[in-house]
Amino acid sequence: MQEPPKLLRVENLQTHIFLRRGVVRAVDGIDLELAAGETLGIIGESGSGKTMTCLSLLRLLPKAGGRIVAGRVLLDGTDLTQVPEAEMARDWRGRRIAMVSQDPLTALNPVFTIGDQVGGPLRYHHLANGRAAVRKAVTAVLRRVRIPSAETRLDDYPHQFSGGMRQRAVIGMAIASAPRLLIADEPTSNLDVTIQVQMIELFRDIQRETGVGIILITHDLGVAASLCDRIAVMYAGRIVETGPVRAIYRNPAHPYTQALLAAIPHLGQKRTRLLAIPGQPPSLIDPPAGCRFAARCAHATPRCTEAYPPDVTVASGHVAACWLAQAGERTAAA
Amino acid sequence: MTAPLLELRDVKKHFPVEAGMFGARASVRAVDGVSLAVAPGETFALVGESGCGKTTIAKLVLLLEPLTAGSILFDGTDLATATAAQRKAYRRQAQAVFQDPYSSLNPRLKIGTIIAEPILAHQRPGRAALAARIAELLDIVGLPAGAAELYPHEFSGGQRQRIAIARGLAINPRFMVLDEPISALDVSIRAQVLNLLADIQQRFGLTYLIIAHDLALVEHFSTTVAVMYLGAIVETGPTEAVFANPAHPYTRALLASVPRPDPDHRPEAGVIHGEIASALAPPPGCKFHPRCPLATDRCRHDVPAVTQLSTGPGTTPHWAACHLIGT
Amino acid sequence: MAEPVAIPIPRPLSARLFGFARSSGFPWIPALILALVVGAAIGGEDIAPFDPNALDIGAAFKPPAWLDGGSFEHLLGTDNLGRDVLSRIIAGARISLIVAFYAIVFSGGLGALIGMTAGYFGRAVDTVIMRLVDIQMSIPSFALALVLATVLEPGLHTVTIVIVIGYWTWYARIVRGEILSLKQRDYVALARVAGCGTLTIFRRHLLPNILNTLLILASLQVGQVIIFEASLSFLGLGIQNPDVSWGLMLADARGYITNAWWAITMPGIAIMLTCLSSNLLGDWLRDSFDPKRRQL
Repeated sequence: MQEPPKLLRVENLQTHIFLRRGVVRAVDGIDLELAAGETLGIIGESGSGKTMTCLSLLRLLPKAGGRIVAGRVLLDGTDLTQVPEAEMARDWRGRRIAMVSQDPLTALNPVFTIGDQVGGPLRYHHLANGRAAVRKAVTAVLRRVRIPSAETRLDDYPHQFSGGMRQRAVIGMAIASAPRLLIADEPTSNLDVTIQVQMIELFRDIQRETGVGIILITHDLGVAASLCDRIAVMYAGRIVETGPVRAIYRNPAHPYTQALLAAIPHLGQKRTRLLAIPGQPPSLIDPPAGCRFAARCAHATPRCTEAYPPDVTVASGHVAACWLAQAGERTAAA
Repeated sequence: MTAPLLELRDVKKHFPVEAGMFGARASVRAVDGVSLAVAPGETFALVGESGCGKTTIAKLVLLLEPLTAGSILFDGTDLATATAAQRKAYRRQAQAVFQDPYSSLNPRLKIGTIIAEPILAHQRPGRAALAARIAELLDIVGLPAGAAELYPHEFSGGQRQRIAIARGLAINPRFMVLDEPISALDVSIRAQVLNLLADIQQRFGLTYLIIAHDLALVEHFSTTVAVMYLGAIVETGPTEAVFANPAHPYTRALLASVPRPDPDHRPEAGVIHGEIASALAPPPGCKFHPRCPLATDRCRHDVPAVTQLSTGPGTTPHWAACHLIGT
Repeated sequence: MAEPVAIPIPRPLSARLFGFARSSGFPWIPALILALVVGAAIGGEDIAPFDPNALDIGAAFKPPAWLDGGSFEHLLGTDNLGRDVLSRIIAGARISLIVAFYAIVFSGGLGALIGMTAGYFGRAVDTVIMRLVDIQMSIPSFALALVLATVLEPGLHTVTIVIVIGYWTWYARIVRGEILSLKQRDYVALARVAGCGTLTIFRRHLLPNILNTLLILASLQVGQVIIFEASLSFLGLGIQNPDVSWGLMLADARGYITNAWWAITMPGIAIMLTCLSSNLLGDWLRDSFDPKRRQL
């Protein structure tokens, strides 16, 4: 059976940030795949490169320092790294790819109404023309993100919305143009847990209704488990493990993934002590030659520090970059 | 049961809000009648979502804000009516670690000065004795002695939080308020700091009051928990009991909403709807009733009384404030 | 329990400061100009080629060295009484800097103290103090200066007092704002939790953090103060002969601009260069103390 072509394929993406004190290899060669209607979670901590990845896909890197130095980003077959900036802004950003970020307060301009801002992408990309048409489209969008009394609320200002409502409005802005790919960078980190659960439902509903592909970037393993179909774990600029969500959580193959799962408290499983991962992530200006997690890994061998481990297929669709991961087995759990 | 180390009796804190020059003065009722007792040696957790008042309670307990009503007793002494000397003695015994490792340390001071601050506020040690104590504290939190000569910006978030803990320990307090001590840290660093807090609690016999929003953390780390909503405690009791048998609909909703690192577990969204009401104009009757799926007419009018649930003899009582318990 | 944690070895302070100055666009020329002015102030009459008050009517209205009729003896020419302009500028530097120094120290100190009190204690104290500031600021500073200067005897002290009264409000406002935001920092709250008294908190946490701001304000103010003093002296209310000040030179030379333009222009240029240099230095200080760029 022929597999349908992937919505998104990222091949060997490398993004470097050029600082006075050196070149930070923020994203150091990652490969990703996403099918339409699927949710891929990128799990990583601060400094792992996950936000840089997200900015690279949208080509929103800070002009002063950041640049994609290698790799391809193929969305529906088009390599976005080669698209000229004007075309990127006109046809792709906000149109076929959209982004939702962490803080709804700073994503919304306080002096414009919600209706104005949600209507922005519609007007800019000529998806609705004339005030009446835009208003109608915006109301439909606000309804879709479950904002009650959408017809009247679109004349409100951001400060009149609560935190959860603002995030819904920001999601509305993102999906207004019916994008193919939605990138959500820590969309629920600032929200209360009872609002967060509504947001998770909303993402799932939107995906079901529109078939959009979602990349969810988060450090929260619980949120990732609730939303994602597949997971990619990032560490120090590289992807160390990829696989279906159940495989990652039930059978983590990479010691970093295992350590992350053992480091957090799990509701309902009272343990006496959490596994503390010693040390710090390595510098990205001068990363070590071998496995970047080796310095903190409980199972490190001399080979781990000498050469970067290849991708090992642990099971179907489940890959880990570790010398110790063998197909069908897993390394001793912590 | 032993006498509690810290006790809050019907504590209220209202913040006046200007409503125009001639308008009625409204108040934000951040804390609206909270009573709790922390036994020596235990870890008492206050959980709740934004606006529930848990951070305000931390500030009240640390005497950073004055009470509007009620009393806070430490070791039997009422802090509001205490003399200046008694308050200073309290400061020796109660320290704190805050959430943000970046604003907890003065960027212009050396680590040694930062850690020594509580010591210098209460004693006049000689230079050698002070340096020895600082080195000892750094060792307890797992940092090298040379760190005392460096400045905060040379340390990572996790390391800064350790420095903050060292400062908290400096004068051998009996009690520490931990306000979201690990939520601003990276996931892989959190366990380091949490284990450190657990270790020093055992080693030095500390009592903790921890403010947190992460329920899994609370279950792991605390012995007693109090769930807050809009300025009041809706349920409290031994952690195991409350998590195993949540009696209040809000506690149940919180537990059901927490996402777990388990792909087959989906947090339930339908358990709770709407948004947290404003603390300026809290709903009448039970404050939770607009969001409660089980709300009855009575809930809309009558403030629920406290209902005790059965726990074993000699243990912390488990109670909740809901009309529907027992029905 | 102690785990190995890599702590970076700090570079010596001198290396850090110098590297920092080099890498952040330190304004060398303005600094040099200010250094020259300070040097002139320190050297004073000892390094001046002539006695600034020495009259030599025979040598009056001599143009500067590079013009027709000038000589290297009087590098910048002479004024209507034959006094050497260069020597007077050097001597005037001392007065100008003395006035600037005392005025800034006293107005800055007073203003900062008042601003800190208002900002830290807040509420009633803050309201009362800020209303005083508002009242003071609504009085035109120059009118105030004129009144005070006529009441008191003109001279160095008067000028300093007038400037202090005129400028302390500026410091008070800005420092109060800083304190208001510093008050919110966790480390201030934690200092209270540790048991520190108010004075200790001021000394250890608030003062050092506003020192940066004060330094920047002071350097930006040097130029303003010099001009203010020059204006007062120009009107005859400030420095009087035989003391030399740049403003006084402007006043004296006003009457014969057409005969000897250099007598008024040279001190004018001195004022302008000093003012500009201190402004540029203050700008650089402000930019480099921005915590986002701080990598010392």
